[in-house]
Amino acid sequence: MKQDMSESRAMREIQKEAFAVYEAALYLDGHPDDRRALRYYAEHEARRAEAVAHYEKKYGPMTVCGVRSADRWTWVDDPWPWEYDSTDVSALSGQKL
Amino acid sequence: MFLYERKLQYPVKIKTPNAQTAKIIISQLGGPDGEMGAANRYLQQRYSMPYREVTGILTDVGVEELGHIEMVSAVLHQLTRNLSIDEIKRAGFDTYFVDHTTGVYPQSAAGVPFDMKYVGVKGDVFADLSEDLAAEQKARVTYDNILRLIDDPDVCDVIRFLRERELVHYQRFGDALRIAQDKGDEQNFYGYNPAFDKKKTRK
Repeated sequence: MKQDMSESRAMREIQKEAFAVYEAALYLDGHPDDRRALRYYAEHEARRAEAVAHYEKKYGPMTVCGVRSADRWTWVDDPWPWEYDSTDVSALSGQKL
Repeated sequence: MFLYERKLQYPVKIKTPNAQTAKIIISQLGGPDGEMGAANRYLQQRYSMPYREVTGILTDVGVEELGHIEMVSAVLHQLTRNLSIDEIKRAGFDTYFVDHTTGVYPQSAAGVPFDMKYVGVKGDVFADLSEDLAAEQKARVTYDNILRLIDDPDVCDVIRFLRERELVHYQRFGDALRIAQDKGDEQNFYGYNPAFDKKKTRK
């Protein structure tokens, strides 16, 4: 599947929320009783899960556990994440975090 | 991006510590055909692989090998915990202990530290896949040799599981080689490198 603008936006949303979750996790590892950080984590983890569900339904699996097709193993369909194509329309969107 | 899953692929539950057994098994962590080399080999070969299915196989086998690093490390940790200095000396584990205590350091059974020279990334489809097929067989032989040298059933059970995975990976890399050949020039598969020479490659 060719990446389009909305695919790139959906991916950006996952990257944004997953980064927040991971950043919170690193901090919480050393401060497991910090409730404020826990609330931050929970809020972004819910958004991350939602973003992943939306992406997988529309564009394809994020992990081997995310294949939703019954007629094809879509894990090997999309470009792999390191295959950046500068002629791709998503490259022109210029989105920032 | 990688996300850690808090589980072993297959359970490791060793009742009796045994440093002598650990000295042998450590080769499958950091030896020439160990899991650390395997994971790095497949994950690093992915970038130049032009066929999506083969990239999928390299990704998924490579990720499983990361899990095997963890399993072998769990075996080593459980085999070396709660040891007395006398037991460490008697097992000949003192030469490891002096440098690493009971930390889990990737090295071969003979004490040679892990070396990325064990890992081949040639950037050529057939060279890389042939390397992978050989690597799985060499790892299988090492597990066979480990099974000849040890007898603790708790350890043997884990080693047999890992040995079996080498066979499955060998079969999957066989699929990968067939896929690459199907997409190549049947007159001369090796006349060009589909990872670099763009022409002649069939979709």
